[in-house]
Amino acid sequence: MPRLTINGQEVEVPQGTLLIEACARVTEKPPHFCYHPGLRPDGNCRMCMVKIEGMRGVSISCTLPAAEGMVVSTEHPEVLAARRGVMEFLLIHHPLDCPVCDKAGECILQDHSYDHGRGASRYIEPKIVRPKRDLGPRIALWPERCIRCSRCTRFLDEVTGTSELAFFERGDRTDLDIFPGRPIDNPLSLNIVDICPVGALISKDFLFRARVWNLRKKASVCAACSRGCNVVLESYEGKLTRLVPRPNPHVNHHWMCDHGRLSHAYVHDPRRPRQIVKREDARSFNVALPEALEAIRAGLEAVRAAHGAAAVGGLVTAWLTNEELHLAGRLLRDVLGARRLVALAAPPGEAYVAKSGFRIAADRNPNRAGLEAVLGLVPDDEAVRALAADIETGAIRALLVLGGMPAPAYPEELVAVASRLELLVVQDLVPSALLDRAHIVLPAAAAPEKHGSFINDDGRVQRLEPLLVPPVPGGDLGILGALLRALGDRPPGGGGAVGVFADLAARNERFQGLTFQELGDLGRPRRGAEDRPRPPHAAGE
Amino acid sequence: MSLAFSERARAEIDRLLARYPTRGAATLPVLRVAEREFGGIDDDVMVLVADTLDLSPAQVRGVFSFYTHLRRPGWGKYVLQVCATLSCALRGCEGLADHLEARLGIRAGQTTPDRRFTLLKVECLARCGESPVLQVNDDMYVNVTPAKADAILESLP
Amino acid sequence: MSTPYEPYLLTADGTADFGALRRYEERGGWAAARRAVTEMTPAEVIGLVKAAGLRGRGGAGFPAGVKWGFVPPPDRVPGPRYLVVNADESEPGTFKDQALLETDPHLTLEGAVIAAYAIGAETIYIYIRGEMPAEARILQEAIHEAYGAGHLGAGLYDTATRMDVTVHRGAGAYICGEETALLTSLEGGRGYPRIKPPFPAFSGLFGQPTIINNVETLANVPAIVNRGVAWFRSMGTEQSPGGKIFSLSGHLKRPGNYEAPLGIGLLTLLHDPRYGAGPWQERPFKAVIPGGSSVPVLRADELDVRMDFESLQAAGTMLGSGGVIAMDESVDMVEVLYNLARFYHHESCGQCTPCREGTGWTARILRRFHENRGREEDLALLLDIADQMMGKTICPLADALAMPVKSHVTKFPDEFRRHMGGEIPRYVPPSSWAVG
Repeated sequence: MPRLTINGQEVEVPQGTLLIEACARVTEKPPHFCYHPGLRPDGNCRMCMVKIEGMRGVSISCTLPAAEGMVVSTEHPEVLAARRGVMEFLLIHHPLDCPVCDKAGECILQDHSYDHGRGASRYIEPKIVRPKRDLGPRIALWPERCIRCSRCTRFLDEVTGTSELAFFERGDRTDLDIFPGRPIDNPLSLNIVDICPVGALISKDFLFRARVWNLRKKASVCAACSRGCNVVLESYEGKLTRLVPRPNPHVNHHWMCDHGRLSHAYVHDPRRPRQIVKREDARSFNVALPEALEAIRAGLEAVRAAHGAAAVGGLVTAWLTNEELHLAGRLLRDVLGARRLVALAAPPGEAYVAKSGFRIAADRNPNRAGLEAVLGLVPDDEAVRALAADIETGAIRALLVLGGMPAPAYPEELVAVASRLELLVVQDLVPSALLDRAHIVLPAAAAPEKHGSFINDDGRVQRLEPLLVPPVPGGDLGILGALLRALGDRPPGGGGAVGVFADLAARNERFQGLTFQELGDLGRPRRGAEDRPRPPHAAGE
Repeated sequence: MSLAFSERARAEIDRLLARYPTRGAATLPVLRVAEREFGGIDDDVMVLVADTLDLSPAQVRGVFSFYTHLRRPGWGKYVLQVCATLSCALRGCEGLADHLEARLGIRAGQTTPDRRFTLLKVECLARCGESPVLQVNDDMYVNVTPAKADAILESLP
Repeated sequence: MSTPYEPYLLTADGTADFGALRRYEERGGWAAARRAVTEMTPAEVIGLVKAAGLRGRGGAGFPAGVKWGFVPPPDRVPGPRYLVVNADESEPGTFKDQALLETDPHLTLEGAVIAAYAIGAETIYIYIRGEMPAEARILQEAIHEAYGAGHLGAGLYDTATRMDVTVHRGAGAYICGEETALLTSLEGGRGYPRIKPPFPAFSGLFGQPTIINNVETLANVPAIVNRGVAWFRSMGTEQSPGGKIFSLSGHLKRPGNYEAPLGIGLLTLLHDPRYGAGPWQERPFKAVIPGGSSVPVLRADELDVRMDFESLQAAGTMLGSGGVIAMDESVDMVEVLYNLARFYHHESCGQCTPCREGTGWTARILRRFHENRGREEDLALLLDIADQMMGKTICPLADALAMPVKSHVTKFPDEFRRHMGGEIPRYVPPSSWAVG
């Protein structure tokens, strides 16, 4: 544990800590462009310079390990002069087009220019002009803004191992590009847009959609697969505009996959059910929640009176949070004594393991582990078919379908027998044949609208924070709480995510010792799951 | 598109690969083999080299374009390189370059329409004591006067 | 000097072609390698070269024996060691290694075998400039001969030592003469210099302990083994012992390579009929670059200086590679600097911001001077840019332009002022021209 002095303050850091990170413990990280904690240091931008006593000139802090007895200054006059020099150099060919640049507002070249730049350029020679170009289906390049920091090429070399981008030519002719006809189309490609410190690499999906300072943001988790990558959800004018990864050494490090970023179109799909609908005699009415609840209550009562309590079935999905699943279990098992409670499976996607070890799970049920931990259920189409068989025989007369999923995956057998049901309540995110047959349609809340928690495939319990307002105020948790009340029960802990989680933790040993607040931004392992940060780079490299 | 190395070239590449602990280290030597085999290095050749060495085509292009001495597509049969760095500049390399431009009817950096000659002004060729210096493909000529340059060009097959 | 200097580096005559081995052995060649491998321990070889005080002849002047001693023992860093011969000679004004390789390839080979033996390497890579195909062929032929005669290969001189040599041709990049860029290039990459530490002696080629030595440095080694420390130290100066090949070019009657003891007077090199024999067209010298294009230039009144590491440093310049470029009064120093700036701009690898942008900016300003469109404030700007480049980058290429800029602008300001005649454009519309 070397002890060193930074800006007059003594600090002790773990062996091997880079000086730039050591500085961050005392003051701010020295300004930098090429350094990124998820990539191997390269030391090319020359911005993160510090003065080390006893060493000639200035030294960069991103490649040097902190050493015992070092005396370091981040504000030495030589350091300030060197930074000003680097800033001036970086801007001589820059088009200075911040007003039309997507990155403006989160561009560190722009930030450092305010903090360390000269204000006016002394460069009067011709600028090098490079037209913008396409790099693949999701990414475009504005080469004039590129500062050749190599973050993107290092990402594609170290993390994906695909190396689609490289520097061509040399000196100030150095040009970032793909090989002709070999676009960037790997599953993690959009990370290079995030880590581009300037506006050179641009996501076509986000291009010109919003100025970043107008974005609302919430820390949450991605629901596109069961990995639960930590993300920041960002919206502009009430619309989900962008997902960016949020570093979590236990889960996704600094990255997330393109699929996760781009799998949320359903949230603002105009066909998405947004109204509570009651169907009677082939006619539909938009109704308020109390009327729908009363219809459900009455329908359930009628079925139970005529066919017994066991004539009720339930179907849930892994898009329900742990808290929602807890209420759903209480409703269907404890209150209604349902004959069958099954979970619908989302069709598997393609599994992917990057060179660095970053994973995309084939399992596309985001809270599969929660389903298992809370209700002991596994998403299983066979169980759903068994449910359909019970409907066919008349053993089940009322069915509550809860949670929904972004792509309808109800087995044919279930859709075929739906019309036999005396009461069919369907809550979903998208239209489907089953939804068309429902007596009561309840809009489901999408993941970015939810307050609650998921468990990822490592057993990590992680929080979802709502960025958007769900179609039904209170979301799925609110609807479930209201249903319980309509049936004469009451949701535990007041029905909010925090209270329901507390009840879950009290009753379910897998959640023992956890509180919703203490999940924090990085989540906590559920009881019995391993808690081990993974190294950012693949083993043995 | 479906370019392939000849039997002989493949054998040479195998011998080269045996000399390095990584395949990537053979990039420059294999580019030299490809240069000889195909007369220049275009995109198809770079893809072939990349496949041969388990690299991405972008990586090969990155390496190829870093170095100035490898044959670019479109270069002529004879590449005439006139050293233009200081020591040669002091001894009149500009006159030699001017003479060659006039004789060939092209500017430095260009190729004659018959694809016979490409004329380049290049940086130091490490023959500063015998300037002006002219390199014609792999052959170095020193103390090159315009008359000597004419004789060299005329002697080329 | 009491006894006349006897050359030991440039002793072959004419061009080496087939049969170089026989001629080399007739002059006593390969005896040193045999002796080192069969009669000395590696530590003794290192001790000998350390004691001789042989300093690197590539430019930095670091003591070769000390460098060899940095290679860690196998129990600390296991795996192969590499000796890499830096034959990527490309410093403008320097052509000594070319001469050594062309005329006497076995001399460098023998030095390399001794060095490899000393550091425990069984593999030697010779990285030779792409623009030296003839020298590469000569070297390849010499290697072939050496294998045949048992100077290379398995069971070297009936010991357990094995020695293999691979010639690796560069492909046109000045920066690959910088030792870490050379390693990156040898590994198949773009010739980007690497950050030190780790130093190559610890983690170099393919991540293994590696020593990189210049051709001329290695060419000194056989003689040191053969004739000993006292002989070597009888030449040169206390801190710069031995002989050196000086490459003379520019406005001299007899440009060329000359071997002389370190510490010889620059004026002797320039004027003595055995060396440069005075100015080419009888015009007096205006300026001389004493150690390859990247070192500070000397004015005519600064030429009374000795050619060794410490004397030239005291004179505010450097011995560098020993490439002496003489310029007479007909020369326009602005054009000289423009030529050099164009060179460094062309050769910057583009990795570090200050070098990538600073070399281009400097070259463009000087292009303006070349077009008679300089401004008074450009002088301060050029010096500022040089300051912003100096010591701010991974390798010394930025310094290699910054030093000439500083010395030219401060020593010849009036010449720059003669290039301020034209109109300065307030706005230059973007165009696609590139300098050079």
